[in-house]
Amino acid sequence: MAKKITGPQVLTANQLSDGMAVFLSNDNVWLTSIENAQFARSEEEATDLEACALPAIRSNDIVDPYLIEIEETEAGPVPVEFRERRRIAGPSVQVTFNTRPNGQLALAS
Amino acid sequence: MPLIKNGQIADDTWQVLEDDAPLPEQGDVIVALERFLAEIDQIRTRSGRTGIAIENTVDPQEVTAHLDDLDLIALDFPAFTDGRAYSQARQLRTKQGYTGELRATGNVLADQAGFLLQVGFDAFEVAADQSLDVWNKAANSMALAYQRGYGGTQKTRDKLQAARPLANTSNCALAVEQSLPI
Amino acid sequence: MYRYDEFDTTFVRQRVDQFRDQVNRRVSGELTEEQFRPLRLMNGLYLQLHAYMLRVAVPYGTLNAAQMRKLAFIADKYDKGYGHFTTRQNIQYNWPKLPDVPDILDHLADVEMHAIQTSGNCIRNVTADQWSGAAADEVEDPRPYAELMRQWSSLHPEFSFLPRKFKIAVTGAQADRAAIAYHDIGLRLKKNGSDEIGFEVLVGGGMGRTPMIAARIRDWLPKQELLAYLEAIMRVYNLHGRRDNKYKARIKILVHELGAEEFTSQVEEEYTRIDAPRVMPPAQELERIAAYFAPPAFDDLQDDSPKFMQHEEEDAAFAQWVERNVAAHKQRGYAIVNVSLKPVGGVPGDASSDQMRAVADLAEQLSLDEIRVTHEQNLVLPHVRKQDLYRLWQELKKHELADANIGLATDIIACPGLDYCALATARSIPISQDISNRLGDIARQREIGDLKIKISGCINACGHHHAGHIGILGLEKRGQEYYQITLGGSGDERASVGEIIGPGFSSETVTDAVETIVDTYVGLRQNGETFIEAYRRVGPDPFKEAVYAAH
Repeated sequence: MAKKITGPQVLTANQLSDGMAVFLSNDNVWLTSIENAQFARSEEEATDLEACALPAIRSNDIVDPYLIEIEETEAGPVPVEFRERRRIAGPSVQVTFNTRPNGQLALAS
Repeated sequence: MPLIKNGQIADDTWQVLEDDAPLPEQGDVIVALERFLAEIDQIRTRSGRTGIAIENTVDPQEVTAHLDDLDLIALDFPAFTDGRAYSQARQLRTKQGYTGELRATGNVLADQAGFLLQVGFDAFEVAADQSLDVWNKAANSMALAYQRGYGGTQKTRDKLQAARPLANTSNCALAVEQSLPI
Repeated sequence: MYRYDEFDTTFVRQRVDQFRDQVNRRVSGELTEEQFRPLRLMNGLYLQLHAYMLRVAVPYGTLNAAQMRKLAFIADKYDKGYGHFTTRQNIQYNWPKLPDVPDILDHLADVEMHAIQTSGNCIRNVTADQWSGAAADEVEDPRPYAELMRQWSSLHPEFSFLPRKFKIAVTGAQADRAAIAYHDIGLRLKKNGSDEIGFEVLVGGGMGRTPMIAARIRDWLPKQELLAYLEAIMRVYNLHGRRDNKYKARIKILVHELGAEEFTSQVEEEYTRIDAPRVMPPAQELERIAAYFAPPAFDDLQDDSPKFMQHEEEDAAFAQWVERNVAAHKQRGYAIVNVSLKPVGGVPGDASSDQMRAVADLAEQLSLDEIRVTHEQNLVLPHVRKQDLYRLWQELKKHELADANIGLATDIIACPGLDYCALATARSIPISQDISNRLGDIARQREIGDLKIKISGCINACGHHHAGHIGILGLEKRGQEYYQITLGGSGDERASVGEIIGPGFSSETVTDAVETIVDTYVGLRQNGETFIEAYRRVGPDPFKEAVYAAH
């Protein structure tokens, strides 16, 4: 349900291959970090930004793109929604089990 | 909409009749259930064949008395995840004994093909870009089914065992398991 | 245990190939995400918050050692070295990659396992009493019927696109360890007046945003009519269940809106139209399945083991573990061992691949190669000789699997919550860990006694909070998590839905509130009452007063 958006927005999606959260960067590349994400600061820009998902959908690289509202902080963009902050942070539970070759946390928290 | 029957693209001789269009004397027409019930006497005098399209909220028992007048029943999938028409088809084919064409319309995907055949559909209106190869591959991807009493080409366990006499069984593990002292 | 024959093997392999083809078509773009989503969900593959999640079925919670080792292998090769056992007796992997999933399914098929219908709007994995075939209080082992239902529901041509998901649980005992009253269909094997065994049939239980206790629609159903009767229930639901609103689509809403009586009469009417002999397998097929569940080769033992009794006397920690984690077995000289996956401060239901392998080894050596998964997210070694209990306990200790807390305050159910789940509104695991740490002292836990704390991270209630003696529901408001507390829920044979006690608590204060509730109970209990007994006597008021006065 469309909420009233006040602040800047960034475009996020999940990678088709592994489901990781990704963000469209200033260079129009999808990155796993929100740090260099491209901002939309008006409704028009938001519509344009959303359209930028199409090539990656067509090439089957990403799924389920959507815009999220962020706050600009000194540490970089931080999502307004709690869920999105958790999505970026990764599990708060330390995965302490026997770490095998592919056992690193995908998302540094 | 291309029509698939018996694993082939088939000619569709049926015309869906708008509610306000006059009922033609000849030709195969599909009418809405309400119109069919209202104009049943007139329909019986036609030389062409008649079918009905029913929504998936309709109880198939409503047409039980008229099955002899029908050569086609079209059941609708407003979304492919809306599975009501599977039960309608099952009811029509089993307790109502309907033997005419049962056509799946609406959102009909290849990945449903096996299930549709099993519950008794035999004609499928598919999207224009549906590849026949993909359809047939999906329709036949499962050669077996656990459920007894359904149609389709899938073999149930009874049929598979009947086709394979016990002496011919290659499943030693099973034989050993069953002969374990209990 | 059931073993696949050629039919089952071929079926599961073909299903893997079918899914491999669907994944390929998705990766190539032939299938859109919208088309692929229901297809991947039919095979237990979710797209979660950080990654895909694959839910693997553990049919009616039964595993053997080879299967458990394979689960450990998958955890290491395709995931991060652990798995999560769920409230539906399944296991979830949190980090698989889409192109790997068909290979994982092939590995599972090697040990007669699959992920068929572990999600989607279809009949899900049938769950059962985790002590089936071992429990001293059971009328009959329900697993042959659970297996029959597993087969019957697998890729059911008519019931794979239901209004909503559909969960069936079955028990063979009067004491309900499978929460059957909280399921879409709950089945209980029982005797009728003529001493024949049949099924009591409950329909319309469930959790979610409208928790409901199931209604009984048949007091006694002949066993051989089971599948035909289920078909009648499913058809009424498939045709008449609501599809206009996802939150009103479960069968409980249909039963509620029609009334149990009208629903029952519709089912019975549909049932008269079903050609039952055509639906039910022949008697020899039932016998074929049942033969796999014949009692294993038990030793002929004395009931008491002097060795065991001596250890119990000499080692207090062992005696405490026996008291909480070991249950009566139907076979003389044997016991049921519950293996806790709830270490104090740990993640409920998580097991490392090393722990999985350890349990597999122990099952092979000491439990006739059988393991069970419980809906309370623990494991069970169902057939252990009493004389081996001490050795087993020592081995479990080495792998941090010997917590003597079954049924105690730290035996908490928690869903993955917002640490993993895309639907969650708040985290559950850290709250569970916090409460567990707070109440974790074993002497204190034992002093508190039987207590079921259940935590869900959203209204969908995967953490069964409605059925918790103390239930906790995580929600989010203005960017903050907060937690609503319910009291008085129960998932057993006296099933009840917990009641909200008042305004919610922050993540910092919810543990204090739980502790206050627990202390209030300890203060007011009489004559050794358990928490739930005391609550049923005094109601919510003393707890509300204590909690809201203190916070």
